[in-house]
Parts: sequence; structure tokens; C-alpha cells
Amino acid sequence: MELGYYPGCALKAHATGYEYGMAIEATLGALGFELKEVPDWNCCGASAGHMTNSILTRALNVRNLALAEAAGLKEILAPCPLCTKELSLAQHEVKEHTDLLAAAQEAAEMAYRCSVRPITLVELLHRNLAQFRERLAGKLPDLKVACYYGCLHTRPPDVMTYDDTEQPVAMDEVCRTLGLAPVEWTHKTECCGAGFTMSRPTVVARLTGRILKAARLAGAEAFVVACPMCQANLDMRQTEAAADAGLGEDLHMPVLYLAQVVGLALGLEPKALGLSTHFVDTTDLVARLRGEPPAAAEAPQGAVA
Amino acid sequence: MQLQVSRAQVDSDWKREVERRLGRKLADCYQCGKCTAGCPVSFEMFHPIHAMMRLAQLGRKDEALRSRSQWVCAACEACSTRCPKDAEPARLMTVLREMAQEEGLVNANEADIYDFHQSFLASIRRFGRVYEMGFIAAYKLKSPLRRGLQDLLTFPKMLKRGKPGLLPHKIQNVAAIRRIFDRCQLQKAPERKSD
Repeated sequence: MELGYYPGCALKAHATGYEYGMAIEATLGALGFELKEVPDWNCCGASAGHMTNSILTRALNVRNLALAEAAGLKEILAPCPLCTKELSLAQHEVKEHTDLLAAAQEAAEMAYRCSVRPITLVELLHRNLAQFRERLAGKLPDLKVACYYGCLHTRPPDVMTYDDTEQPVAMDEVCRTLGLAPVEWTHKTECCGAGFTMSRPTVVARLTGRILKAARLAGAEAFVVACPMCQANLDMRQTEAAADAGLGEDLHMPVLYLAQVVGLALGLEPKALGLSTHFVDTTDLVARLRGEPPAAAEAPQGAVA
Repeated sequence: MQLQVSRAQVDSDWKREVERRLGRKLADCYQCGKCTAGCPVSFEMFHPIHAMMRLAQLGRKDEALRSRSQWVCAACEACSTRCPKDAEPARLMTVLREMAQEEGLVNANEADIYDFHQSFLASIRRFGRVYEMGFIAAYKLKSPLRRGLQDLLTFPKMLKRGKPGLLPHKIQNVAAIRRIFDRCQLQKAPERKSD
């Protein structure tokens, strides 16, 4: 199966979320997808574009969409939901407003017939679930996980239409099919602080702290996410977040990408899925998911460090 | 929030321009406060989102454009998603961010956030894609003492995991990206006479 692919900057070899790109390519390859990268794609503008100049952001994304169209791609998978949102927003707006389309085409120096649809990884896996059921169903143990969608998988609701806005379920249903036990919880679509990770880290600690606490209260042992910013904020800043939420210092909540979890269900090697690059160690969790004994014996009770 | 209102302070031309860019009537908002109730960052705002809506309704241009709130907004869209009047508070924040830049009224107390965005965009302009190592360095060098110390202990752990990579990734047609940037600059408002 051919599939248009817009990796986005965060997933490439030079970026913090490169393991997400590794996991996507390994997992979708194993499922039989042939990824056709949009030729010479550019950055979607991300938070910086959205926060400072909306016309610039639309033009940058119309260039991407027009490049995809020229390459004959009908749908493009954009695994980072911020990319999906910016691409979809551009698509949505230029389709409705001909003056905006004309301006964006002129700025991007490309003609665009509005024929490309950007999709998230969650949508791709969920709508093809029946087809892959045999290869995926029940391959993982019933570990309690919190499926965390973040703010952009379902917003704005007239642009990101695949799932319910306030209580999305697509990622939960994929995880349940794999055999995992996704918990019911309150913070599925709360914002993690996204692009403030350097410019306002205290805000990120507060927001991710709340998300951690909610997932813990629901009994989850790990997060499953599908956004490189959510992953980085929950994983890299977990110590600060746990402190802010009063959860203590020994909190240990691995943050796995959906693509990694599906890859494990397919029997792919953890290393090929980039599981060794996370800040919160995933070794024990991965061993449990793969049905292996824990990698290292736990320290005896009462041992003095 | 309490506001003293006098007719003299209402900038009607500005209000009309806000409504044009917003695609909504500001009077649609009936100040229920649902936007602020669901806003994840309202704890960081002196004027939470419903108050920003109110400032715009009252035509209080200077206070609205000089506010820090639009820069602390995470653009998560929770407010617009839940607004019972479809008044688009999130889009109002976008409008205010762009107008504040055009008028030279970006609040200097939010320089960290604003510089971060500018460094990020400069990286896209230069390479077509964002170069994390490069733009983070540029951001930190604008205020090396304070920003340089932040995350000093995390950085070696990142490097150990190959995050972020050392070299940029440049697209072929960077010239096209530069022309997009040049054509899409915000229009600076003419200098205002001092009053």
C-alpha cells in the first residue's frame, strides 16, 4: 500500500523526536505500507508560525500540499499532530476562501487544486484496524496504559474531525485491540504546554504534572502518545512535573509512542523502534510487554543505596 | 476584573479591524467565562481569556495589545472549541499577537517566548526546516546568562541520546522559502504621533 508521508522536522534524524520517525518507518513498513515522502517538504511553521504570522503559516503549508499534489499523493500521513493541524488548517481555509488560496499560491509560487488530505497516525491505524486485526490482536499483555491525545488531535473540531473532540477513543481502541488495558481518565485532551518547553518551562511542569497525576489516579503504568511534543514534555520533564504535582521523586511513568507499541505487538526489536532513547527508562516495561522476565533483579527491600 | 469605561477610551476603528480579522462580532461574547474555565494557562495570565475578549469589546486597544496574555496562550484551542457562542477567543489571541507586532507593542516581559518564536522562524527561513541545535543556541545567546544556565544539566543527557542532532537538514529549494518569508511579512503600522 502506498501512502503519502510528511515526516515533519521533529521526526528527522537531527531532531529530538527522531525515535518517533524510526518507529513509524519500522512499524508501518512491517504492516506493508510503502511511505512516499513529499518531495522537498518544508517545516509547517509549528508553534512559532502559528503564534506570530498566520499568513506565513498558510503559505508554508500550501507549498507542502501543492508539492504532495504534484507528486500524485491523495493523502499524506503527518505523524506529528501539530503538522497535521497546520496542514489541515491550510487545506480547510484555502478550500473555503478563494482569496486566501490565491494569496497563498502566489506566495508559494505553486498552483494548488485543494486535493490533498493530511491524516494523523491515530486515524490511519484505527481505520485500518479490521485489516490488521489478525496480526495485532491480543499480542500484548493487559497492562494499564493512559492514552494521551494532547490538545491537537481533535482540535479545532471543524478541522480535526476524525474523533470525538472531548473524549476521543481511536487510540484507546487500537491499544485495546493489541491487548492492552487503556484506562478511563480525565486529561486525554488537556494541553502539555507544547512549545513552551524552553521559553516557559515552569508552565510545562505545571501542565504535565497535572496530566501525570490524573493518569496515576486512574491507575495507569505508562503513557501511550502520538505527538513528539507531548512525548518530550512528559518524558524529559517528568521529574520537574512530578515535583510540581507533589507526586514524589521516584515516579516512573514511561512514555511510549503508539507506533512503538504497535511495533512491539508486531514483534519488532525495541532498538529498531527507538525505545532506548527515552529519558524515563523503558527496559522493564518493554520486557513485560514482550512477555520476558524483567531485565534486572530488583534491589532487595530495605537495601541502603 | 473591574474596568472603568468612558466613551473617550473606546477605539471604534480598531474594534472594527479586530472584528474584520476575527470574522466575528465581538458582541457575540456574553462573558460566560467558559473559555477561562477550560484554559490550561489561565493561572499565568493577569487578563485571562474572557477578560481579553472584554478588553476587545470595549475597544481598549493599548491594554489589549500590550497584554502578556496572548503570548502565554498555548494555542491549544480549548476555548474556541467550547465557546457556546462560537466567538473564537483563540483566534482573537492570534489577531492580537499579530496586531501587537505590527504596532510595536509586544510586551517586553514576554521576551523569552517571543525570541523563541523568532529564533525558530529564522531557522526555517535559513534551512526550510527547523534546525533545533542551531535555533536553540541562537535563542540562548540573545540572553546568555539566564537562558544559558537553564537546562544545563539536561543537555548532556540529551546529547547522550543523540538529541538533538548536530547538523542541520537543508531543503533543496530554500530560495522559495525565503521568498515566502519576504512576501508574508507583517505590515508595520505607521509610527504614531506622541500624544
